[in-house]
Amino acid sequence: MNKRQFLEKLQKNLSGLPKEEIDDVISDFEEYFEIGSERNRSEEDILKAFGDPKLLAQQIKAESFIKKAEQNISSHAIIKAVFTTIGLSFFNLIVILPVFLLIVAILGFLFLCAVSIGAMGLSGTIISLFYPLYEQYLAFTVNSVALVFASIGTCSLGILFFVGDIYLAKFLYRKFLKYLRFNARLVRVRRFEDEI
Amino acid sequence: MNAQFKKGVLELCVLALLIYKDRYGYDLVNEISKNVEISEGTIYPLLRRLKNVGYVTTYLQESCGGAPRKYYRLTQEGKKVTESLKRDWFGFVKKVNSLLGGEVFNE
Repeated sequence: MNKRQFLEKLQKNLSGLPKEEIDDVISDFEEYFEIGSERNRSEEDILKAFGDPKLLAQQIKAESFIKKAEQNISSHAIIKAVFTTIGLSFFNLIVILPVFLLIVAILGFLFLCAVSIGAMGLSGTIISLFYPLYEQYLAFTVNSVALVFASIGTCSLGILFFVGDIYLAKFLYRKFLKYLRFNARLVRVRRFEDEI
Repeated sequence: MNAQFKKGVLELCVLALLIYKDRYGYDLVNEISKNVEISEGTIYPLLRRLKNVGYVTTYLQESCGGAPRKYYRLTQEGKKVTESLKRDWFGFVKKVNSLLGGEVFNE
């Protein structure tokens, strides 16, 4: 492998990142080669010291996706970040995927609870508002005012629950990204040991 | 020295070197590899990460004769983190040293 092949391989494996970012990475490595040759280091020597361009590209990509997911909260961004970081090693699959799925499951359950409570309150409110219409068909009587207030209360509880879930989701999102970044670094440690 | 251990220290070395002056990637690797053997390619993923978490910023500066070089500079937050990491490191080394010293005395 020569310098041109190294840079081509690096560029190829960076696909998926914005063009400016790829250009930036390539110019970083070009700068390194240039200064190396100014100081009379051979191309082979630098290439050997750099290691596998594919691995370098993967690390840079994982970091970039984590950064993007941090900048704006989006399910698309975090899924990309998760899968790129998992792609770094089998070890990451074991430590990241279960945590990710657990968080998704817990949040899914809590949002479902909030929506159910809210829906219960809402339907209760509607039913109690129409109470005078079907009162005559019931075998028992209900304090309709109390029913209205109880239903509205339940509905508000559902909304409150939902807002709480949103805050929790944001909190877990940020924590999880920190965890991802930590693991993207750990892999580097492990792979580095392999390189030696 | 254990490679995994060295790798963890690499980040601290990079930050510590930037306290005294702004440097470019090659310069950082050059300084560090005088004392510690490192895998040179990983300096760039590491520097990108430090930039993303806001510990360093970059700027381009002309070099004498050559193409412009990308310099890395510590931010205020980066300086604070570096100082705290250095304190942690010295505290850790002191404890390990006293432990190692104690072991010798017991023999």
